Amino acid sequence: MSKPTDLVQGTLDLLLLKIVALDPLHAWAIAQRLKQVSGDVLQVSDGSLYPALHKLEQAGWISAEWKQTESGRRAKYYALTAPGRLELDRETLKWDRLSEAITKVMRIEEA
Amino acid sequence: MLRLWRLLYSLPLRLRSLLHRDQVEQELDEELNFYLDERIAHEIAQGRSPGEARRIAHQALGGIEQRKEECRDQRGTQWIENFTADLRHGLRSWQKTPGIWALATLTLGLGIGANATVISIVDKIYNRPFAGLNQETDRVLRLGKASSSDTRNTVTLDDYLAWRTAPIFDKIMGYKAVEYVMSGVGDPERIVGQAVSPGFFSTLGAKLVLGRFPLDVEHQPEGARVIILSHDYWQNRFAGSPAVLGRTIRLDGISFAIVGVAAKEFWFPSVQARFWTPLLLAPTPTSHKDPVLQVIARLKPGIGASEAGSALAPISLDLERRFPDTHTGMRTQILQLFDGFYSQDDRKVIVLLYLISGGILLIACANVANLLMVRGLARQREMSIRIALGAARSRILAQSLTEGLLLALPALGFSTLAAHLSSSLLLSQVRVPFPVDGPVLDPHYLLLNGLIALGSIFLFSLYPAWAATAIQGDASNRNTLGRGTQRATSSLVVVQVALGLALVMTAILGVRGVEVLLNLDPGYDRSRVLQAEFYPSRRSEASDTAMHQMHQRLLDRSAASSEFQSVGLISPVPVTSAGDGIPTRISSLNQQLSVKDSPQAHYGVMSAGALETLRIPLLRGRAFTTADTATTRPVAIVNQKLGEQLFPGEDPIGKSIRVAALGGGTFEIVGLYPNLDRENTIRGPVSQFFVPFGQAPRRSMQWVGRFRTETAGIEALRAAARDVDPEAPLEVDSLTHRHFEELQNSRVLIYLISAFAVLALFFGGCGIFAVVSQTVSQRLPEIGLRMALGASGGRIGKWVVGSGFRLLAFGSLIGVGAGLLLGSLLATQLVKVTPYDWQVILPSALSFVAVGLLACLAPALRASRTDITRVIRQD
Repeated sequence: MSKPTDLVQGTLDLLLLKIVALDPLHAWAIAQRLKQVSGDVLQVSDGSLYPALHKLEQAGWISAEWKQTESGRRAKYYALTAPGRLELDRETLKWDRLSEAITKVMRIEEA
Repeated sequence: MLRLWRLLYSLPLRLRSLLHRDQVEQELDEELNFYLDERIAHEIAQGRSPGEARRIAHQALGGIEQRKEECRDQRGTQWIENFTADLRHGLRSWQKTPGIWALATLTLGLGIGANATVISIVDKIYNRPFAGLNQETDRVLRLGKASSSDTRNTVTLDDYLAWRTAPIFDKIMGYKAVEYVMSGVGDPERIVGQAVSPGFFSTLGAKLVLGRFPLDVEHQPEGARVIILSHDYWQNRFAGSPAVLGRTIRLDGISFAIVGVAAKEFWFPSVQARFWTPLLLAPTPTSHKDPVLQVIARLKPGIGASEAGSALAPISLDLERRFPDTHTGMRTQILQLFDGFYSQDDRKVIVLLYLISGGILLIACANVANLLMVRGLARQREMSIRIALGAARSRILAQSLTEGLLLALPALGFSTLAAHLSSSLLLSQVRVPFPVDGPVLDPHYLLLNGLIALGSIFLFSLYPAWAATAIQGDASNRNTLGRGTQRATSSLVVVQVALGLALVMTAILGVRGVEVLLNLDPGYDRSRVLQAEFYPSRRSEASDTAMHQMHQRLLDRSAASSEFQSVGLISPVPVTSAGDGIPTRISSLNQQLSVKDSPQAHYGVMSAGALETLRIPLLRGRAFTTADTATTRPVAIVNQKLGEQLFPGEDPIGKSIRVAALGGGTFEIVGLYPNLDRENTIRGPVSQFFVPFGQAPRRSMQWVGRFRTETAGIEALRAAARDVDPEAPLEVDSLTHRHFEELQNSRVLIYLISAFAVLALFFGGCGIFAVVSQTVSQRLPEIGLRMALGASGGRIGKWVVGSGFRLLAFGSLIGVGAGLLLGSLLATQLVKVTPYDWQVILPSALSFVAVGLLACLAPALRASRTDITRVIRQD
């Protein structure tokens, strides 16, 4: 099994927020969605997913609700809260600036 | 704002994880299991066998319990859970050693309590007596006058009026004590109060419950005479009636209208002030010779003491020009508010009290530290095991802190109670010249002490934990203190013993000193003597002659009574603080009498009969008789010291002296009496002489009489006084009672120090007990071995006692040194005692040795009864 690309420090929170912003998901689905959307490039390890989700929940960015899955089991669904939406916007802006800056640096033509 | 909004989501979560912990845990479990199941299903869908899918899923998650713990750490409530767990653990572990817990709590509580009591009281009595002057104290100052040779804090009315013109003062006020015979309401009575300048009340922030402050015009001679009553006097004398406003009372026969009553909390400059009248701001031709005013000023903002000094210099020069006879060379002196308020001796008492109470706290902390370190040893095995099992160092330390808290909080509670009770008791006993209402105990000091104690507890409860974590999981099973720890506990005991012994020495010195004071032979016989102050009612109108005649009539009437063996007039009575008399320059006849260079002596006035009444023995010559009158040759009796000073090696009888204070008059010495010892002085006898009442009478004289029975004597005296002046108040007291009151504060001080000494003994005993019993349990294997090799129980016991004794001896050595130091401070307050006295050192050391040996007894007995087989089986 190839090692997935290490996530840039601190970007896991941003990705998780972005994914639950679309619609409420449970943890397994979040992991699957992340993998799928990033074309299998980004993959969060099972071990780090849960502490990260619990941290975001405790911070009040996301909230959890127990709901039935399609298969009829009870699962904990995470959704973005209103302050979480603000946080996501702020973090997105930061990320855009950072990635743009990195892109610029990388595109410098060697003389 | 955003924070608050987020709290809306996170707070319920936290509360839930605290209050519904089981449910939250169960949900965490369910969530992780759901994930695992999904993952397994996913792997199976990828074509793996169920077994392999399960293995992969578990591997990916990497330990369910570890993930759970990580999630729990995110909750932000973990510390509370840890804390409650520590609390439970702490309670259980203290339950195992209730003796140490009780001892440590008691020690610490008493230590903090004692210290807080003393600091609060000293602060209340000595440092902040003036309620109204406490704000911006750096701008409030006292003004005095100084020449090259002396400084005084009383000035003349003319000085005050000149200073009032200086633009640097926000406020400036002066006051002087006055006493009157008050009549017009019930029995006449002597009352003391203050004549005060404008600005007096506003500077002090005084409030009235009734009426108004004096008007400016009432400070002028043409204004109405008005008076403001103190709250106490109003309550006691006028039953708190609001109808007093506008009433007129007579002071020395002059009518004053009551215009106000001060609020209960206002007093100044002493609680004895029963009234305040406006000071008349009218200088007289002689007022510049009369330094009676105390002056307090408040500087304008932004003006420093040095600027004030330069602004006042021209005023001093101007005064010098106007009054060359009295003001030449006199400069304005800026004094601290409390300069001259307390003597050098008082300051020494304060230092002594601070040292002692600080010492007590130190001993208490040392004691607790010792107990905790000794207990920490027993826990080292437990800690090592916990570390070996993977406990984080921070958790171990947090646990120790929690246990320290379980000790500190009850101790703080106990000390608050103890300090509250003891400070109220002390204040009710001590004699102070102002009221000390309100909460005595300053919570700040309690807090400060609490912090010190908490600090020491934490420090020393952390030490064992730190030592254990330093081992880094080496699950050492040996129940031994490290060499360093042992040295630390031993030196703590030495400190305790040393400080304690110093305190005990001081206490014994103090008790001996007060004993000496109480039983001192003062050179006269104070038993069965009444002393009375007689205040003729119309004193201000009465001429000097009339006053003298009234005193003489009182003397004659009382002499006629069969209730008295003898009576006399004297001023001053030797027992009072002013008992030396009035200072004056004197010289022998053949020497020049000069105000500057002649020797100084104190003199008093007495009538025939006074010497006999006080049973002052004459060494030579004769006492005054009724034949010594204004028309006969002036005579004097001198004490031994003055006789030797003026006529060394000669017989003073028949020689003559000249006395500056009595108009440079010449007096022939007719008698020589021994030096009188004044109890409350430490200066030793002064040069003193008396002149006859018949030749140099004073307006104010004290009557003394040797009675047969006290109550009948008082009655007879009152009857005599009524005969002379039915309106005149009379204050009667026995000399023994006066003497007792004069020594009251010294007595309280000694009780206090003695209580501290008992505490110190107790603490010292506890410290030795803790260390010695620790040594015993630590060396149990060694003791067992020795006994197995044939050592007798008695020999082992002796060895244990010896180990305690070494600490005791070493501590005592240092303690005697410290005790000599402390004792010297106390000795300044007492007469005829010194700490360099075997009768002080020996009983102190012996008492400590006795307590120490007693403390060694129980561990020694335990050691000598060691059961060899049990010891051998133990390890």
